[in-house]
Amino acid sequence: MGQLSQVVLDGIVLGGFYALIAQGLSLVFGVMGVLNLAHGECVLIGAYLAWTAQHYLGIDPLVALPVIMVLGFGFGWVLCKTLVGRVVERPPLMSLLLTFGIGAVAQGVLLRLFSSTPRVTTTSYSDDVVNVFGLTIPTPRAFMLLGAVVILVLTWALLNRTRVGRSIQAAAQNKAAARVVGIDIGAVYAIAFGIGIALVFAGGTLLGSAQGFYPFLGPLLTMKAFAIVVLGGVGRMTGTVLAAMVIGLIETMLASYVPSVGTGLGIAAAFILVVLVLVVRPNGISGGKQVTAGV
Amino acid sequence: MSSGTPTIGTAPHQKAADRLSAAPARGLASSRFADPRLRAGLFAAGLAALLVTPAFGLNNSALLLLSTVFMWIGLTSSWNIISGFTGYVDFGHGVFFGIGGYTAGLLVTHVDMPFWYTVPLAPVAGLVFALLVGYPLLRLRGVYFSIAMLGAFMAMRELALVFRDFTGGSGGIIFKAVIDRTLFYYVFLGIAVAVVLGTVWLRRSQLGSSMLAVRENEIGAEARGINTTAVKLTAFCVSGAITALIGSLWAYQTAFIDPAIMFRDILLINLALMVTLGGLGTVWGPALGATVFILLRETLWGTEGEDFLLFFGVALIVVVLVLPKGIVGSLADRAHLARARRAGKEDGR
Repeated sequence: MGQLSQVVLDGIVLGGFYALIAQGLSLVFGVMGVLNLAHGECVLIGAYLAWTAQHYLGIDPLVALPVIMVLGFGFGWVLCKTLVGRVVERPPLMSLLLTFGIGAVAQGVLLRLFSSTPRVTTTSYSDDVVNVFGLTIPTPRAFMLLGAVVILVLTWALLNRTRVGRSIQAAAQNKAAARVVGIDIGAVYAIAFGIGIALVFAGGTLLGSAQGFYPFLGPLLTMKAFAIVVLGGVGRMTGTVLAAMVIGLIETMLASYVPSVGTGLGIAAAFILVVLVLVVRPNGISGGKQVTAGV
Repeated sequence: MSSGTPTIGTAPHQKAADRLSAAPARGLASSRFADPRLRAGLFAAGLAALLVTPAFGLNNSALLLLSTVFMWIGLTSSWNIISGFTGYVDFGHGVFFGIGGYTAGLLVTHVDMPFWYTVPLAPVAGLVFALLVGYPLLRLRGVYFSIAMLGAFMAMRELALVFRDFTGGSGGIIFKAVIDRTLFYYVFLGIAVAVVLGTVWLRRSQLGSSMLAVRENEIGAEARGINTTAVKLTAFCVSGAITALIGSLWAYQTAFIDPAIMFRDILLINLALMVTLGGLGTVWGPALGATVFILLRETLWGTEGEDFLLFFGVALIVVVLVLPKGIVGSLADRAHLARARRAGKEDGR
């Protein structure tokens, strides 16, 4: 029993991180209809930024986090204005190919700069653990969960309680109508993309001190985020969080209960789950809405 | 690839066919290659030249380069059937390449089957996988299908890595090597010719038109009585089976497989890049894109250096932004435009 609750706790911690990066993917896809295949690479850019700040300047990742998120917003904004924004109105294939290309470039640059050696952002609390009701979490993972929760709550508030957030939602619901009421769609795209990238940069920062990362991790993260978005339904934050928890739990359970091979099966499990769900409900767990609607 | 609102009285697949006849095949036809006999003659002459080429004492590296080109023509043209014709862009198509290679590898090591017996079984494995995965996934529209296939690709790589007692894990499987470049030259040439001619036939067949109808307007196609599920699944199975076949042959040629090379990401980027460069959804585009790309890479790049990801990524971005319709698509557009102008003049405008 003790072991089970420990596994569940680990799953929830992992799920928190997944929720954060999946929310970024879901937001961009919901608003722009662009499925960002460079998503995982963006997580890694965040992780490497935090690592660089810590390694060369001695700045704690949690202190650097807000700055990295601002950088993430800027990076996303520029990326949208220069490249991604050009293909939004074109067939989805074009944005897929484009973000696929961006992902490859990011991977190439990260390899060049940091080599393929795995890195971990070491902090003063790297080896500490937190005790919760007799269960233990390494402190960096506790911060990962905490950070994810705080950032997701703030994102929810931003999307639902501010003018900018409501513009984003309006654009996601009906682009033509949003234009009619005077919303600058191009600006909304850039802002939404910026927020999405800020979220994944934050995810990367938090992940970087909790576990090792390397340039080839990107597609893996993209896949996990995608599986969560399909399971949870696009543009539904509660759905995303729940699905993230499910994927996180499955992963930790596989790792602890399936001897020797369990740890290597994260994607396979997520993928099989996605296929099974789609067999039963072609429109995702949230059902009802057409997945093609893009909202 | 934009689909307008369906016009009343025009069948969607008819519309697609009209649109497409303006694109690749007749696009070229309208220019110098108007006479189909001339085109067939040119094709036969080129083929004859390629058939006798090895007799002229090419060295092994030249033969390898040419057979690589042929292999990629086979891969791109088969990818084009699902991604270009039906519009369901398969971003994980490398999964079939890996399945083919592993089918051969596992049969050779576990059952001790002679390699050439495994060759017909590899496409069968690809077909079965395509059926199993395609049935649920092809119900997903657009980007969902694309990335779900990427998931299938990564999942199979994980499985190949993890079940090491069965697959050899990251240690891989070593074949008995047969180093016969000329043999593989002819094998891959045969596959390339078969797939390209198959595509030519498909493009003119009812089935091919139905695929284009699915791409242009799936709901419309369904309304016209096209069994869209069957059409998509057929395209996917054919495409997957051919890729699995090529994968098994490549594995045999290389004499070694492991998850990292049979399920390699770069294959996915290469496919997307070559086909987009040549012209997605056109008949000759994939073959042209593969040839141009590999020869360019060979002359400009030499071997795959450490920055090859960077290079491919930038190339893909540039192609998407500058040449989204590919070489064949852009030429066809231009020919179409010229024809329209001529027609305009004849009308006295």
